[in-house]
Parts: sequence; structure tokens; C-alpha cells
Amino acid sequence: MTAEALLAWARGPGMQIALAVFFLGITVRIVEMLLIGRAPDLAAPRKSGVAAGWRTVFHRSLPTPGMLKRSPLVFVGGYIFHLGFLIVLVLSVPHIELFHGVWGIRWPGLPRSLIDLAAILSIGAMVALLVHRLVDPVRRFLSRSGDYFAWTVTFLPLITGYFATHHMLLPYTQMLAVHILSIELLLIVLPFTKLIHTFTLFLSRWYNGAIAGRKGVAS
Amino acid sequence: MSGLDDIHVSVTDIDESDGRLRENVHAILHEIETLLDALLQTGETSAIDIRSLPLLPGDYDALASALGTGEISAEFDGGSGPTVVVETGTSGVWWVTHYNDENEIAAEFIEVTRIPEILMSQDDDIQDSLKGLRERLQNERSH
Amino acid sequence: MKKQVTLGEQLRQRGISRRTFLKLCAVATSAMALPPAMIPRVAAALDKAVRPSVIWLSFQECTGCTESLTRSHAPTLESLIFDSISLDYHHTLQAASGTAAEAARDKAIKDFYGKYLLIVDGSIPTKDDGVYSTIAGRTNIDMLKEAADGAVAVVAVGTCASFGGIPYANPNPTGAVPVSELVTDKPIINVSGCPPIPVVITGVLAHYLTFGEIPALDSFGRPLAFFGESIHDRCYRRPFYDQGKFAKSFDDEGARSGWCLFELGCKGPTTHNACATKKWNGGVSFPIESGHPCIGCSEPNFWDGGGFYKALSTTTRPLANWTGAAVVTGAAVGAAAGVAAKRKRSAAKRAHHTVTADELKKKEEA
Repeated sequence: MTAEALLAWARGPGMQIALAVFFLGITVRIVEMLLIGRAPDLAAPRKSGVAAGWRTVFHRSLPTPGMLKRSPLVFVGGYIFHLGFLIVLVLSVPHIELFHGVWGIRWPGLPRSLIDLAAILSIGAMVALLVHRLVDPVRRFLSRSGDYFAWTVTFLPLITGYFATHHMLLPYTQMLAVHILSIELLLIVLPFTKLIHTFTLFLSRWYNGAIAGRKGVAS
Repeated sequence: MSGLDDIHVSVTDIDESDGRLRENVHAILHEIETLLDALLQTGETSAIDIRSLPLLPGDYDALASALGTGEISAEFDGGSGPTVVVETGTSGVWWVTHYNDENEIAAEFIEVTRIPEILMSQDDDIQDSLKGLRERLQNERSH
Repeated sequence: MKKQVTLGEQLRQRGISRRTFLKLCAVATSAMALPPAMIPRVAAALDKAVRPSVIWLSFQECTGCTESLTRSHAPTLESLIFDSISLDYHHTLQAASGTAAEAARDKAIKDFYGKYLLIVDGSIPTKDDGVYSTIAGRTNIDMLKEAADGAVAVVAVGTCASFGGIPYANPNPTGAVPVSELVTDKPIINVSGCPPIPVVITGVLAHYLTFGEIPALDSFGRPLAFFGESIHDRCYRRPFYDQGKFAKSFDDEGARSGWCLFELGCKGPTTHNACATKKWNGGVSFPIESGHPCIGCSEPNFWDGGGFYKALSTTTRPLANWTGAAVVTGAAVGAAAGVAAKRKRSAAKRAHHTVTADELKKKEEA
């Protein structure tokens, strides 16, 4: 198979399959979770849980007391990686063109140099987090193959995208094909692995906050 | 009715702070600087094929004006279209333009040399001329 | 057979000076996309070169490649034919027609068997025994095989001959194939492009004439000197790409300012050709310089690449309905799974009966 044919497949049928699995998987999981719901709390609420839910969504994004001292790398590295990934995903012009191609909406992008910076910081942070996970005995003990798998499928789109735009390692056509295929892999596995946290994170935070709020305690 | 004049096209410089050299011209001048230095140090001559450079619209003129015009210009046409050789204002740098027989530019070079080889009389041609001259002298003597 | 005169001798006999010969060598070196330092070697080689016989066959094509060749300015087609090659058969350019033309081809094949260069433009239809394109009652397959047998090498000019081109595009009604699928025992040089840049065609011929061998090729059989770099790599608008300045339509401020055409579907990043440096029409311009994105015409299957005006990073198929359908199906499946889980939970609740400590005690005693 030539690089051109691979790229054509990745841009056509490959993307079709990946997006279908992604949207199907995400909706199945979220709708199921919402429908199962939680057992009704029959006790009289001390306070409404709604505001507490939103508060928790926000304040769990901040470090708990002592956390920054205990594990600064996890907190700072985690933030850098997540924000960098989001910036590259949403604000690089070729990606915006993809969103425009699929849904017909468009927004202004960032220049290549800033996207590069975000990508490099993300890649660096991800590598540091992986090393930390491998070196720290407690973290290594807690890590399962699913954690390493999630790391790999998230890392691949970042690194291949960087290589493609900088014409490194492989000719551009091949690297672009590999990059798009790596994203398709990420899309397909995302709903069925720990990566689903992209969608469930705020949902579960809100639940937690709301339950605690009804009981009148801090979450 | 709209005409061609209604369509406004302007070329913006990559480098928007004016007064500075365009990026491409800047790079080429740097290369010429290296080549000129080599010419002085080792006598090594060199050339740049202008057709192999990805020039921006306007770069060509900017490059020509940056190099300037020197004291010598020469032209010859040996039957396949004219060739124009001009010394630029930068001594040791020559602009050589080869035209085809339809007066289109067939190839264009910037040469870094004391004098482009194409201006020098060639041994083959000298030999032919020498032979012709000798024959003429012989004929005159036998008369 | 008469002794073959070299190009150097021939030019001297015609009264061309050595100086003019050097000029022609400089032009040829530039046309071959070789560095100027190669001019002396080109001169030495051309001095001893012998005019090769060239047979040009046109199959399922539009004559655009020949049109392009006739616009070559360095060297011009005239100087190429009269000075450098012996074009013995080209049914569009030659004066002879009918049986005389066919006879000229047969004669050239016989006289120069094993030594001539075969140039092909157009793809070759193979469906229904190749009946969709015939010349003088003979199919293209037949004619190509006969001519390729005695050729020293085959030059496939244009994307049709190189990769199949538009006849090969989906659904390929004539079963068209490129030259490389029918000729497998000869070196093939693919000079792709729709059409190829004129000086690239003459440059490849000049290379063969000069060095008597085929140039270095890439994985698609294209000469590296012309197809070694992508349009994007050599594009003068590349800095705009890096700065994130893109034209969004053909008449916005970005388009007028000459910004990058990536968003308008430019295929420059995946296209290998010499347009950005050799340019067209005697070096005047090339599509991107004239404000149009590269359509990737020198790459295989460019007609089926999903649209000339869609950015390279986008999908080639419409996905909005597709994703909508996935969300709806997902919601249905999710709802079913949720309801099923809920039912299971209430069933478990119903099956559950409570036990008191007294009951347990009684059980233990019993």
C-alpha cells in the first residue's frame, strides 16, 4: 500500500469508522449512566445540592492543601499536558479545517509557532508523568496495563502530529497518514477505556458535590 | 460592470517592517558573501542558478537592485539567442542571462568570479581562428 | 550504417562557436536542475553525445502533454528536435500521416532496435481486449508492447502514462492502466503532471542525451531532480503557513495579500513537483503564485483525492449525517442498556428479603 493510498483511506473510510464508533460509544455510555441514575435520597435535604455540585466541579480543579508540595509534578505536569493538548486540538488551523469540514463551523486559529510550543510542552509533560509513574514505587504499584495503554494512544497523535508538521522521521505524506490513523485509534478506544473521563469527569464531580451539598457537608 | 482594474491585488512582504531586506534576498546575499570570500581566499569561482530559487514576486527585482549595476556589460549572440552579461555593483558578482532564439529567458545565473568564463575566448575557437589566419597568410604569400 | 556524429562535431560543422556551445550547456544544466558547478561535466558529456532516436506514442490522452512540450523554452522544442534528438515518430507533430506515418514508426523501430528511447503519453485501456483506443486498427496494448520491445528505456510523460490519470479515475470505464503495468522489463521514467512542466520533459530528455543513462528516480519512478521536494517545501507562501495566515476564500483580504492557500484545499504538502522553482510559461508563475491552490496533479490518484478545494487535513467524505446517526443510535442503545440495568436492579431488590437477628438465631438453633 502506498503512502497516498493509506492517507486516502485514513481521510475517508478510516475517519468515517472512527467517528461513528466514537460518537456511538460516547452516547451509549453517557445515556446509560444517566438513566441508571442514583437511588433517591429520601432524607430532607439540608440545602439544595445544585450549587454545591457546580462548586465542586470548579474547586476540584484546584490543588487541595498540601498537594502542590506533595506531588508538584503530577499537578503542574497534568495541567500543562491537558491544556497543551486542548490548545493543539482546538486551535491549530488544520484541525479547525477538519471541524469545519465535518460540521461547517470555524473559528480563528493560532500561528504555528504557538501551536508548536503547546505541543512541545504537552509532549514534555507527558514524558515526565510517565517517568514519574515508572520510577515512583507507589504509582508503579497502582498502574495497570490500561494506564499505559491510555498514555500511549494519547501520546501518539501528539508526537506524530509534531513530526508531520516538522517533516521529521518519515516523508510528510506517510507521517500525515500515520498521524490521522493514530487519532482514529484514539477516537475508537476513548469511549471504552479510562479516557472516557474526558466526558464523565465533570459529571461525576457534580454528582459528588450535589450529594454532599444535600447533606450540608463540604465535598 | 467590473473590469480587471476593480480587482485589487497587493503583495505584502513577509517581513512587514519596511526598509529591511526581504527574507529571501537576505539569504541569497549571505550566500554571495560566503562565495565572494572564497573567491578572494582561494580563487574558487561559483554560480547560483536563479531558476532553482523559490523567489517571491518582487524578490527578483529586489535582489537585482540590492546587487546594483557595475561598470561592465557585454552581449553576444552565437546563433541561439542573445546572452547578456552584466557586472553588478558588487564587484566580483556577475548577472548572466541566457535567452533562447525566441527572446525568452532560457537560464539565468549569478556568477561569483573575476570574469565569467563565457566572456573569455575559448581554446577551440582560438585554434580555429589561428588556423584560418595562417591559411590567409599562406595564401597571400603564395600570390 | 554511417558513422554517428557526436553533438559537439555536429554543432561545430554548423559553425556554432565553443562559447555558444558553453551557453547551451549552461541552459541544459539549468534545465536538468543540476547545480551550476556541473556545467563543465555537462559540456564534456554533450561534446561526445550522439543524438538518440526517439519514438513518441500517444494513447488515451488529451494532447495536453504534447501541448506542454511545444511550449518548452529551455531548450525550445525546435532546438531539441533539430540539435539534440531525432524525433522519428510523433503522430501529432510529424508531417506524415496515414500509412506513411505508420511506416515511419516501423522503420525507426527496425533501424534503431535496442537503442531508441520510447516516450508514451496517455494511459492504455485494457478492458474488452483494449478495443477502446486503437490507432490504424491496432490496439494501444499491441502497439506499446511492440515499441517497448526494442526500446532502451520508456519515458512515461504525464500522469495518465505514469499513474493512469483521469481515464484511470473511479470508475475507470475503459480499464485503463499506466505504462508500468504493461511494460515490466524496461527501465521506466515517470514524468508525471497534468501536464508535466515543459522544461521537466525536455530536462529528462537532456539528461538522457547528456549522460546516456536514466536519472536517479524516487519510489514512483520520477526523476528526483524535479520531484525530490514537495511544492510546500519550496513554496514562497510557506512563511504564511508557518505564521498561521490563511486565505479563507478566493476574494478575501488574505487571498489579496497572497497568504497561504492550505484552507482552500492546497495539496502542496503531499505533492512532489518542480512548479515552485521551475514555474510555468517560461518561468512566469505557477498556480499558487496565481492564487490557486495546488491540486496535486503529479501524484497518483489525484482525481480521487476527495476534492480539489478541501483542506488536506479534512475528511474526504461528508460526516455530519454520519455522526448524527451515530449519536442517535448511541442514545437508543444507551437507553436500552440503562433500562435493562435498572430492571436488573429492581428485580434484585424484589428478590431481596430482609432477615432479623431473631430469625437468624432461630435458624442457627434449628
